[in-house]
Parts: sequence; C-alpha cells; structure tokens
Amino acid sequence: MINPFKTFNMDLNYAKPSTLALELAKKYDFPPYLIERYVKMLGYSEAEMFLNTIGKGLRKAIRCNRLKISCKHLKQRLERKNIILKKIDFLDYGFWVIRGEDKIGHTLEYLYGFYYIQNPASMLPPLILAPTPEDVVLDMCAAPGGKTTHLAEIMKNKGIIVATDISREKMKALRSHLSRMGVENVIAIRMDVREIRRLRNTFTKVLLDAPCSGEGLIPIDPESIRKRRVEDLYIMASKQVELLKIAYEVVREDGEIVYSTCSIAPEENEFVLNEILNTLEDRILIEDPGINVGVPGFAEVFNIKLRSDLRKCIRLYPHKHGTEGFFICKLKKIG
Amino acid sequence: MDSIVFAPMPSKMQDKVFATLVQMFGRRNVRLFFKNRKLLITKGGPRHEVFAVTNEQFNFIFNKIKAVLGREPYCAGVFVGIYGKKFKPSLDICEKLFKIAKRNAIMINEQAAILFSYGRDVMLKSITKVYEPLHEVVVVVDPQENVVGLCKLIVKNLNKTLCNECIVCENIIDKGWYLRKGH
Repeated sequence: MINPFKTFNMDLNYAKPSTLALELAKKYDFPPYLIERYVKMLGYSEAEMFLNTIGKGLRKAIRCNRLKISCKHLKQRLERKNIILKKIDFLDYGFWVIRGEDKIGHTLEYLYGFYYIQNPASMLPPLILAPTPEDVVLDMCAAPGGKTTHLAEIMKNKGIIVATDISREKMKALRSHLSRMGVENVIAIRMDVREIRRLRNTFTKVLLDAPCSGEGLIPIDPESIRKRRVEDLYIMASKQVELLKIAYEVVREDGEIVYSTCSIAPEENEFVLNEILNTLEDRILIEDPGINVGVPGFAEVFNIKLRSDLRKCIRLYPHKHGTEGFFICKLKKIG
Repeated sequence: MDSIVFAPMPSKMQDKVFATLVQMFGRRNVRLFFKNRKLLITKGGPRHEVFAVTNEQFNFIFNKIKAVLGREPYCAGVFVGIYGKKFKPSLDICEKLFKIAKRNAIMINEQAAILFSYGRDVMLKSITKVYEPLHEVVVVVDPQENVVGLCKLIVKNLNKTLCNECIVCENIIDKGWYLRKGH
C-alpha cells in the first residue's frame, strides 16, 4: 500500500497550532490542528468565515428525477404543498429548497421517486463524468445510491452501471433507492471494492466517490471530526491512493475517472492525486471538468509544491458556495 | 445474500411468471416490456427473487461478474417478483407494466393515496376510477396516475358493493414501504 505520508516525507509540524490558531480554536471550540490547517489553506479571514458556517447546517437541495417526471411538473406539484424550489446555477434539474425543508423527506412525490434529496456538491461528480447510454460505468463506493441513481438518469436507464459497496445495510438502502427512482440499468454487488481489480480494462468510465474523513461535512455534523487526528488523514489517504490505483486498472484506455470526496483536506485530495499522477507518469492526466463551478485545486499548500495541473480540480466550500465542502477531479487514462 | 446465486430462469418457471403478468396486464404489453430482456432467478436464499435484465447486463453478469470476479450480484436490472408456489409480482414491475397497459388498476383520491402510502387499505368511497379488467391483485394509482402500491381485491364485484365505508382492497405493498422497511 502506498503511503502518501511517507511519499511527501511529511513533517506533521505543519499542523502544529500557532497562537492565532489556538485563539480561533478556543473561540469556535474546535481541534487546534484543524484550525491551523484551515488558516494555512485559506488565510485567516477566510478560515474564520468557514468556521462561522459550522453548526449552522446547510440549505437542503433536491435533484429532480427526469426518468419519472418533468422538473416543471415536479416544481408545480411541490409548490402546491408550499415547498418552494429555486434552480441551482450549474444544474437544470437540481433545486435548492427555499421553503418547506422540513417536509421535503415526507412527501408522496419523494416516495414516488420524483426526486432525490442531495447536496448540490454531490450532484457534480456524475455530471462531470457525463456517461452516455453506451457506457459501462463502475461506481466504486455506490451506496446509498445518490450518485448511482444520477448516473442512471444521465444514461437514460441504458448501458450498464456496476455499483459496488461493502456495507450490508447501505446496500439495502441502495436497492430501495434504485426501486424508488425507477432505475433499470444497475448491477449491484456487495463486495470489497478492491476485488474489482480483476476486471482490468473493463469499464469505459469510473466514479470513485472515495471514503474520506468527512471534513467537508463539518457544517452539518461538527462532532464527527472532533475526535480525529492529523495522522488519521494519512491513513485515509493511503486507502484513497489504493482505490484510485484500482480505478486506473479497471478503466479502459481513453476511459475517464472522476475522483471525489466530501472532504476539503488536501491530504485526501490533491496529495492523493499528486501521488497517483507521479506514480503513473504519462499514463494518466487531469482533464478539464467542463463545468464552471467552485474554485481550483491547490498546486501549493502547507508550503508543499504540487503539480500545477491540480488547478484543474474543483474545490467547493460551504462559506463560498453554500454546499458541503467537496473536492472533484476528472482523470483520463492514456491509451 | 452472500450464498445466493443468480441463475437463468428455466422456461417452465418463466411461463408461470409470464402467465401471472399476462393475466394482470395483457399479453401484448408483457411482451413489449420483456422484449430483449432475460429473466434471472436467485437460488440458495430464503426466497427466490426474479430479475429482468437486458442481454447486455446478462452477458456482463455471466462473463465478467461470475466468470472473472467470482461474485454474484446483490440485485440487477428490474426486480420482477418472488417465485414460489404462487408468483408474487413486485411493485416495480407492476408500475412499469401499468404505465404501458393502463389496466388492472383502481384510481383513488388524493387523501386516500396518502393513507394508502402509510399502509392503509382502500375503502369503496375512495375509488374514483377503475381500469378494467381487474385481476385479484390490482395496481393502486393516485389522481395523476402515479402508482401508490398494490392491493388485493376482497370483493368479487366493485359495482355491486353497496357499503361505501367498507374496505374493498387490502394493502399488499405501498410506496411508503421503501421508507418503513426497504428491501
């Protein structure tokens, strides 16, 4: 297993909190190492803006399921129930819930599979992967199925999506969502996704929404991150590098991979990609995501110079974009 | 689910599945939906689940997932129902076939549709339209023809039933089941 911590020869002192970070940590009741990293990543004032969003939660959003209903019709139906929607800038069929957030999970329309409750950041990876009805797609960590059902919709329920996940409980949820949303083109397999490497050069496109620390979910669930240490990020990064290598092995030549995490930690994002790109050299490259959203990835962070093409990746922040903290990068395997 | 194996469904078993669906939705409509699809049945589990997959999915399951990966799917394509002494069609397949066939269904009013989605049965007074011919198991739709679930008719003739407040169709499965229980 590749260890990015070793690769970067990281001195974890970069996360050692300064006096300024300690003050902010006290003010926001947050782990000092996290604050130190945020200050280094974003600068003091932006880090404070980010910390201000914590605990406030995020506005809910839904993705209209065009396999079952037109978005215009859905909007009208929900308006009659006093649920008011506003279109998300980058997605014609994604909507912020402006009014009626408390009702959005309990409507008949939800049960009918007319929409999926999903943060807009999570709507981006399938959109950027942009599969066609002819594709054979692998969704590596698929459950509970938000991105899988989105892929199916983009593919017009044609082609093949292989959706894998190891969790028994989450697989049940995936199957229920597939039924609810009327999805027909998924083959779900409950397995350790690392086994999939036996299917070398099989898939035309791969979505790897990697397991992560969840640092991007802090505004929704601040408690989840408090017990973690900076070392944990590197343990997670090792797994992410391994999964991304598997994605590279199973995608066909000229095939595309979208890597995403719900984390804003560079250790789980740019560091992971930097490692993969350096290891695979000219056999893989970063592609333009083809969508104008978010801010560019880091080419330098914590005083570490990374590859300049990492700027093509996308970062989303709750204080800037109103979404979860999120990272997305599109890669192409060179033939 | 781990020891469960997906196998092509023997044609005799398929006949039983199609016979039930044809009774409910008509031969032409069933043919239309299952054109270019194959049936798979699960073996080794507590129940035999039936799935409809496209030829492309079928080949991928047998040539890649089983042969190379040595794995079995958890689910695939469209869940058609549970095979046993009697074949029990799934809500998924009934929804898809109703969209084509527009038969074997009852429409109920909005309020009754909400109650049905919570597991309640159907009273005669809630029915606003009948899509003849009816089978024993009928599709329940809301005023916009959205499928809410399946129910079992407990009266022989809806037109001859005089008691408005009487239950005429018992809830088998409804859309709320996805939230309450799930697969």
